[in-house]
Amino acid sequence: MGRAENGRLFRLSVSAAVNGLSRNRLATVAATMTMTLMLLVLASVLVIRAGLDAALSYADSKVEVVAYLKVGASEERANSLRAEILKIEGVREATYISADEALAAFRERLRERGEPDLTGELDQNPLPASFEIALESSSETAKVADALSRLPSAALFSRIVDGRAVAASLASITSALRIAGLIVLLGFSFAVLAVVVNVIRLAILARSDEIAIMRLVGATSTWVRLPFLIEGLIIGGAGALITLLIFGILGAGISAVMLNFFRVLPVETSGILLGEVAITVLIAGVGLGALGALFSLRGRLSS
Amino acid sequence: MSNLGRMGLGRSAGPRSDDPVVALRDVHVQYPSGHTALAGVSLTINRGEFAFLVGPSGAGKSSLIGLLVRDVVPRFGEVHVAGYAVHTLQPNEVPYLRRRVGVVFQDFRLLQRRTVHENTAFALEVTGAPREEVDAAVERALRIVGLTALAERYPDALSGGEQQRAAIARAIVGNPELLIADEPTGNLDPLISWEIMELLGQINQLGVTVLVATHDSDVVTTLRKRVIGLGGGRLIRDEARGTYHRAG
Repeated sequence: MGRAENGRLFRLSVSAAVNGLSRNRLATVAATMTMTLMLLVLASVLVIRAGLDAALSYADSKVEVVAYLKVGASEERANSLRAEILKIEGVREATYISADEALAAFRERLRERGEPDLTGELDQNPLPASFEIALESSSETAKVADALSRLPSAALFSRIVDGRAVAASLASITSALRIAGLIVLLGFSFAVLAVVVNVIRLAILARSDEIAIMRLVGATSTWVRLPFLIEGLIIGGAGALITLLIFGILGAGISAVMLNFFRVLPVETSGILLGEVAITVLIAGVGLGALGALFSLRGRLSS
Repeated sequence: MSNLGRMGLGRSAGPRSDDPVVALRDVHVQYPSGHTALAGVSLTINRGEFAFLVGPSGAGKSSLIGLLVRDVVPRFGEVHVAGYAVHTLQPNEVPYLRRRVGVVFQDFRLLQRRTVHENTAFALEVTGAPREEVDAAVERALRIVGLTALAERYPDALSGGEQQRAAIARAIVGNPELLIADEPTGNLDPLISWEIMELLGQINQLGVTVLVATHDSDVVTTLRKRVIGLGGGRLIRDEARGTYHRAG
C-alpha cells in the first residue's frame, strides 16, 4: 500500500474516530475525566517521589558523624584530636565547630524560623564544640563511629552521633510511599482501562452497520480497527493534556508546597522534573488509551 | 491444464479472460451445529455470464453466496473466485477478494447518515483509492444506475427501488468481476423489480458477471437465463436457459 493511500486512510480514520467520539459524547467525557483523574494521581506520585528521592539523597550525602567535645576542651587539644580523626580510614574531612560558632549557627536558625532568641539570657554558652566528620561513603558510618570511640583521646568526646537513623527511617518511609503509590496507580489504571474498553465497545456497537459495509467492500482489518485505536489515543491524549494543563496552572503552588513540605531540603520542582512528569503523563495517557482500545478490539472486527 | 489448475493457490498473476469467474469443485459446507449446508457442489460460472441461483429456503443459496465472499469456509472442496483460491485464502487476503466481488442485498444496507454519493464513494475510500479516482468512479456508477440527479439525497429520502439502485452503485463502483445480488427484489413491488432486473442485465452487458439469488419465479421464468438450482444443499439442476421451476 502506497504512502499516499496510507495518508488518505489515516485521515479517514481520524475523521471517523472524531465523529465516533462526538456521537458518543457522554461516554467520551466520562472516559476522559477518569483518564485525567488517574493521570493527576500519577503526576502527584511522581512529584512526591521526586521530592522523597531528593530528601533521601540529601540525607545520604549528609550522613556524617558528629563528635561533641566536653565543655571546656581547649582548642589546642582539639587541633591534635583533628589530626587523629583524619587518620581514621573512611574519613574525608573533619571540621572543627567551636562553641561560639555553634551558638552563632543556633541563633541564625532561630532567626530564620522567626522564633524568639532567648540565648542572650544565658550566663554562658551551653553548647559544646564539635567535629563534623564527613565520610567518604555512608557505609563507613558505623566503622568510623567505632574508631572514634577507640581513639587515645576519646575521653575528650562527650557524645558521638551518626546520621544512620535519620537516613534509615527516611528510606523506609520512601519505600512504603512508593509501594502505596504503585498500588493506587495500578488500581486507577484498571479502572481507566475498564472505562476506555467500554467506550470503545459502545463505539463499535454504534458503528456496526458501517463496519459490516467496510468488511463487505474489502477494507482491510487494520483500517476497520484504526478509527477505534485512534479513539483510544484521543481519550488518552486529551486526558494527558488536561492533566498537564492543570499541573501547569498549579505548578507554582506545587513548588511552594514541595519546598514547604521538605523545608530544609534542597528540593525543587524544577523544569527538568516537570518535563519528566509531562513526558511520563503523556506516555501513560496515550499508552492506556491505546491499550484500552486494543483490549476492546481483541477478537473483534477480524476479516 | 484446467482453468482451476491455472488459477493455482491464492491470487494468480491476473485473471485470464478464459478463466471462470467462479469455480467450485466438490464443495462441502458444514456449520458448527453439524448441519450440512452444501454437499458436493461443483459448478463453474464463466466471465460475462448472467445466472440465477434458485431453490427453497434452506437449500444452501446463502451458504453458496457466503462461500464466494469468504464469509463461509468450506469443510473441504475448492472455491475459486475472480482469480483467488478462496478455500486457501489467508485472512489478510480476504479484503482483496471482496474488492473484486460486489454484493447487494434485499435490505439494501445503505449507511443512513451518508448521501447516495457518500455511500457509493465509501466503498472505494475505505480501500485507500485516490480522491480523483473515487469521484470519477462514483460519477460513472451513479450514471449507470440512473441516480446522478439524486446523488446528494440521503437513503431515507429515496424509494425502495432507488435505494436498491444506490446499493448496486456501491457494489459496482470498484469495477468488480462478479456482482452477486441476494434477493435484490425481495422488498420491491413487481414493476420496480423488473427495473432492477433490467439494470442488472445492463451491468452484465458491460462485462460484469452477475449471479442473482431469487425467489421471484416470474422474473426467472421470463428472462430465460442460466438457472442454477439448489435443493437440500446439493446442486440439483443447472440449465442454460432455465425456468424457475424445473421443466417437465
